[in-house]
Amino acid sequence: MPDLAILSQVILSGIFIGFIYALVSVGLTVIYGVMDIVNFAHGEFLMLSMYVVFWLYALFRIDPIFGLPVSVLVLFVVGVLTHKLIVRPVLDAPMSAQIFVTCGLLVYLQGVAQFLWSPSYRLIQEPLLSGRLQVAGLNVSLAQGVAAIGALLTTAFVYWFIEKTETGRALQAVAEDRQAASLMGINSDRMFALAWGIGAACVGVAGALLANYYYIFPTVGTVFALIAFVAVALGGFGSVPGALVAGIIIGLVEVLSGFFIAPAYKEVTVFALYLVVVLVRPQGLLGEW
Amino acid sequence: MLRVNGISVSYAGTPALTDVSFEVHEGEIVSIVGSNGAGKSTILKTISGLLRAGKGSIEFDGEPIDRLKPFVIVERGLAHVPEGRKLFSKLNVLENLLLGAYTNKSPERREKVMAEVFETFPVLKERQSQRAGTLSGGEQQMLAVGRALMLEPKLLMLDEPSLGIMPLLVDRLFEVIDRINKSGTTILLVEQNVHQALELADRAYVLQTGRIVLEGAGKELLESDMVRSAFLGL
Ligand SMILES: Nc1ncnc2c1ncn2[C@@H]1O[C@H](COP(=O)(O)OP(=O)(O)O)[C@@H](O)[C@H]1O
Ligand SMILES: [Mg+2]
Repeated sequence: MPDLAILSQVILSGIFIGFIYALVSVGLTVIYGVMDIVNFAHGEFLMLSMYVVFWLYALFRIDPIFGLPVSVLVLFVVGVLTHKLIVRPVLDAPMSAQIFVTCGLLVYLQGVAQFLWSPSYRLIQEPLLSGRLQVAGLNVSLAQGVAAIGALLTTAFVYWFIEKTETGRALQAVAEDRQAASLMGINSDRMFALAWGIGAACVGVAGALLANYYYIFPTVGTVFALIAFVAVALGGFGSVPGALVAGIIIGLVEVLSGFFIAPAYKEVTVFALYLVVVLVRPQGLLGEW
Repeated sequence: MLRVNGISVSYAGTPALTDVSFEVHEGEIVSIVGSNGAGKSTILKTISGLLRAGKGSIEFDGEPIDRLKPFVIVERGLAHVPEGRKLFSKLNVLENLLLGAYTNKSPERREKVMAEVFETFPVLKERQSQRAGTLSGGEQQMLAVGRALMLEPKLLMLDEPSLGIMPLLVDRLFEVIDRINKSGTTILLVEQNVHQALELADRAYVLQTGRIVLEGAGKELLESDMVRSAFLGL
C-alpha cells in the first residue's frame, strides 16, 4: 500500500504539469482548428519563449514574471510572421508542402538556438517565484503552483475569447467554411494570422511560466510538442476543452506510471494511452466528427 | 445598381460563362433562370468575388468591383446567399445571424435588423440557441436569408433558395422575397424553379450553357415559346 501523503503529492504534480501540457496543446489546437495545419515547430516556439525570458533575466535582471508579457508579445509576432512568410505561400499547395514548411522551421529554429546560444542547459537561478509552501498538508513549489494556475487561466481566457467574442466567432466561422465566412465580410487571411498569433502566444505564456523552474536548452520544446500532439489527438482536434482534459490526463498518467511502475516508463504509458484512444475513439475524447 | 459587362469565366480552361451581360436596377427583382449546369451559381460567385472573370467587368453602384476581394465587396452592401446555404452548422442560430452583421458594427442597428429578421422569420427567434446544423431544410434556408439580411444589403443575391425545401414553403419563401423587395432591397434571384422565379421577377434573363439567350419582363418570358418548351414542358 503506497503512502497516501506521497501519492497525493504525486497526483498534485501531475495536475500541475498537466495544466502546462494543456496550454501548449491549446496553442496547437487553435492553429489546427482554424487552418487544418499542424504546427510542427510548436515546441520550438516554446523554446524561443523560454530563451526570451532567460535572456531578459541574464542580461537585464528582469524576472520571468515581468518577462512574461514580453514573451507573449514576441511569440504573438513570431506566430503572425510564420503565417505571413512561410505558411500563406503554401496554403494552396499539397499537404506535404505544408508539413514540410513547419518541419523546416523546427529544424531551422533548433539550429539557430544551438548556434547562437550553445547547447548548454541554462537555469534561471533566483526567480522571484521560488521556495515551497505548505497547502492543506501538501508541499507545493511556488513556481510550479503559479505556473499551473497561470496556464489554467490562460486556457480559460482563450476559450472565452473563441466562444464569446465577435472575433472568436469569426475565427470559428473561418474554421468551418472560409468561403462562407468571406461572404460575411470576414477577412480570412487576417483570421489565419490571428490564429497563429494566439497559438504561438499560448506557448509564450507556457514557456515564460516554465522558465521559472525548468532547464532551458535548444531542444527543450521537443518533449512538450510531442505530448501536445498526443493531447490534441486525445482531446479531439480543434477542441480547447478537449486539450485541457487531455493535458491533465497525460500529466496524471505520466506521474502515476512513474510512481507505480518506473519513471523510465512514463512516456511509454502516455503513448500507449494514445494508441488505445486512437483505436477506440479516433475523433478524440471531446472531438466532434 | 449592378452592371455586368460581357464577363467570361472558366474553370481550369473549361468555359462556364461566355460574354454574359445584364443589369439590375435599384428596386427591381431580377431573375436569372436556367437548368442545372447553365452557369447560374458561377455568375453569382463571380459578382461576389469568389471567382474571377477572365474577361469583362462588373460595376456596383457605379464603381468597378471585379478586382475586389469578397470581404470588401460585402462591405459595399452586396449580400450573397450561396447555393446550399453554407451555414455555420456548429454555431447556433443567433451566432449565425450575428456573423451576418459582422461588418455592421453599430449595436443599435444590429438590434433593429435582428428584430426585423425575427419578425419575418418567427421560427428563427424560437430556435435562437439551436445549432444551425440541426434545423430542417426550410428553416436553414430562412436562416441563410436572415443572415444575409443582417448586413442590410442594398442588393440581395439568392442562389436557388427553393432547392430542397417543401413546395408549400417555397411559396412562403417567395412571398417573403417579394416583401423584402417591397421594403426597399433590390433582389437578384437565380433559379431552376422557372415558373415561380419568372412570376416574381420584374425582369428576367434565360441562361443556357453559359450564355444569355433571352431577356424580357418576367411575365413576358413566361408566355414565350422558348421558355414554355424548354423549361415548362408545354
Ligand atoms: N468548381 C468547379 N470546377 C469545375 N467546373 C465547375 C465548377 N463549378 C461549376 N463547374 C461547371 O461550370 C458549369 C456551370 O456550373 P454552375 O454555375 O454551378 O451551374 P448552375 O448553378 O447553373 O447549376 C457546369 O458545367 C459545371 O459543371
Ligand atoms: Mg447552381
